[in-house]
Amino acid sequence: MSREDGRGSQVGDRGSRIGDRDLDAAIDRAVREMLDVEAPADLRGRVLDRIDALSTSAVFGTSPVVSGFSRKLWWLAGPVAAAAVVVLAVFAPWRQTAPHVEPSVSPPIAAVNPVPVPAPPTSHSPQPPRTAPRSGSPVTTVALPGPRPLPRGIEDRLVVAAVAADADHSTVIDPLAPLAPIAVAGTHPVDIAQKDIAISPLAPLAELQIAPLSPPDRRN
Amino acid sequence: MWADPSISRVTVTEAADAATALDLALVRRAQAGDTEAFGELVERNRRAVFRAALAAVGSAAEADDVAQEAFVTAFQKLDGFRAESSFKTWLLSITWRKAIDRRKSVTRWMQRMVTPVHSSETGEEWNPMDRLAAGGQSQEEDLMTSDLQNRLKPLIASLPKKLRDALLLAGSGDHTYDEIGTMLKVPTGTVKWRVSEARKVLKHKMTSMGYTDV
Repeated sequence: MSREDGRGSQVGDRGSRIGDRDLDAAIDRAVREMLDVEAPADLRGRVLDRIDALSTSAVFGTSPVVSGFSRKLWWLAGPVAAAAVVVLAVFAPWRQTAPHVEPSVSPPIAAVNPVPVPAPPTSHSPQPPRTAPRSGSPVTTVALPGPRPLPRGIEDRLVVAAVAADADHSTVIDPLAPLAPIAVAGTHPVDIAQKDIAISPLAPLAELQIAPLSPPDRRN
Repeated sequence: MWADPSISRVTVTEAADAATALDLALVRRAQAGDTEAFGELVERNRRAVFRAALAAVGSAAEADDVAQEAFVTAFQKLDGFRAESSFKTWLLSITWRKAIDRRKSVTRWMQRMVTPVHSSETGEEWNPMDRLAAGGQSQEEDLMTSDLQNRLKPLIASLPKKLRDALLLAGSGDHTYDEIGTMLKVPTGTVKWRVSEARKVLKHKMTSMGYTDV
């Protein structure tokens, strides 16, 4: 505990007496001693060296001096970049690929069955077909190329295109049977006699009697 | 024989004005690309910059780093200096921001985590100001130093930061109250109040502790 004497001085627990001025002076001395460190003499040289390096890096496009703002930017950019990578890894569309479907060797959609054409009921012998059907099975099987790992959407479109191309080139179609000649009977004109045409006279018209209108009827 | 105090005050003001004018001339040359002129600015202001950094970070080595970084930053931003204040005030503002960043930096936080508790005997938090308070004196010098000084330094180091910063900056003798106000971004009156409050707290602690002699 401390107490003040009548002259404004303060007395400590140990009984020592010291005035405000002495305390202020002691505080000033303590502060000066705490800061009594001489600034480095080579500070100027080091600063100029760094400035030279800065100018050089500006010429060559490098930046050896990292400012405080740049460091803060890196502190912010690091977590943001990491979060962006995680989001891309989770939600990127290339991660949502469906299970790969192995294409069959001979897809049934590529097989075409030729329809038999009935022979026409004529005595003419049909001409030989210009294109002979292939020997063996009447069903033509078109083999697609081997399986290739393709993205799903692209794979579907390729299958459709392949089927259309193969049907055009490898399906055997029997030629049509020759048509039988159509016979049309000749026309026979019928003679029309004028005597058969008779016109009967019209019946005489009966006379019409119209009574004159009465006056009340005329008003209406 | 009594010296007229008004005469010395005018002399100090004129010297400060002359220094400001010289700084401004050097700044203009540096803005035009004269690196040596900027080197001269470093030489003229290195003491004030270093002391300001030391008051904030409490370590000579870190104050050296802060001072160097502050000068480099000042050079990079030199084109933006509009001479609305003196170059020294502008430079000290940059220095103080750098020093506070350093004081708050993650590096120092990590250092605090891995460094053994310095004042474990007293149970107090490790404080970089303790190094400043110790002053790097030898045991023999400590014995020669007055007991009051040895008691005051730890008390100053343990002051709240706002009071301690104002007291150290004002007590260094390198900065005016106006410059300190600009650095701390507070009015000059607030700086004076903080210095006065710091002294009051120290006196109260000293009297409550007791002391041997002066």
